[in-house]
Amino acid sequence: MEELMRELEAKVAKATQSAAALKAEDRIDDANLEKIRANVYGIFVSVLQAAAKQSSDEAERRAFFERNLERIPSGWRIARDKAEERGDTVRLVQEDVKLAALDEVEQAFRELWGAEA
Amino acid sequence: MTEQEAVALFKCLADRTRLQILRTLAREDAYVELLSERLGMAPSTISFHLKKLSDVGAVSSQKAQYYTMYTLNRELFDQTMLSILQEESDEAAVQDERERLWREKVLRSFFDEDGRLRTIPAQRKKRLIVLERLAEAFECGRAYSEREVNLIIADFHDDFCTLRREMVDEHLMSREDGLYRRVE
Repeated sequence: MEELMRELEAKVAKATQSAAALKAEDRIDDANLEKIRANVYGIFVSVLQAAAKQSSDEAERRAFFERNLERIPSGWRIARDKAEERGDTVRLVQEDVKLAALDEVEQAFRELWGAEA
Repeated sequence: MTEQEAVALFKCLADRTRLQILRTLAREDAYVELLSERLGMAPSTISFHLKKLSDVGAVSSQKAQYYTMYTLNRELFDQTMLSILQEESDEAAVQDERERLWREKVLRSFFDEDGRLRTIPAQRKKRLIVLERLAEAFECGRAYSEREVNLIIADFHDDFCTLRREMVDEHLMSREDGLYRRVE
């Protein structure tokens, strides 16, 4: 769990730094996409903290995290599909960025914590 | 281009990535993948920016075989900044209407039902509106003697001397060789 926490916190820091660099280059929309990415990692840092408070049992914590890994992005997928239907490219890209960041979180979870299940 | 459209355009252009896309399109038309390769950005990011550019009319697109080709809207960029600034503003129209209503209100409060001036406004802006109304009583291009001017103004108010002088001071009437003319 600690390893996953470190990994996610590093991702938040990296995306935040990247957003600041893009903003300094007057790439505001690209910076905002990086902020979206940072927010997604940040959400799962919070989920990890909540998991730690929920229980001291490692398996229960992992199950809590996994449940939220499913639950939280369900709305994002719906929003993505709706944006695609409407041909709303801007929203579609924003939702894609969220889902790509989610994939990274999921991959990190499987690699760093999920194997212990 | 309306003021709202100009604001949207300038906001859209204030982004380095979009300027790079536009510079590339200024050289030649391109499709998303080509722009992505040339600018080293993800195709989704390019699509994102192209959509924003398209929304403000900076680029247009058309299907060409397997790709959608994007073209710079040269007509838009051929406009000068000055021509955009000289466009009639939506806000200017609102301001004009507000000004017109205010002028009517001032005239209603200073002129009675018979068109006589109740009192000379103390506030310069209101006084000017009243003087402009008085100036309408004079024909453009015709010369008036001082006596004629006094008689015309006396129909509105007894203090014709003050009003006559004020009209000259405010450049609504000119005075030359003892003759008065309405300034157009």
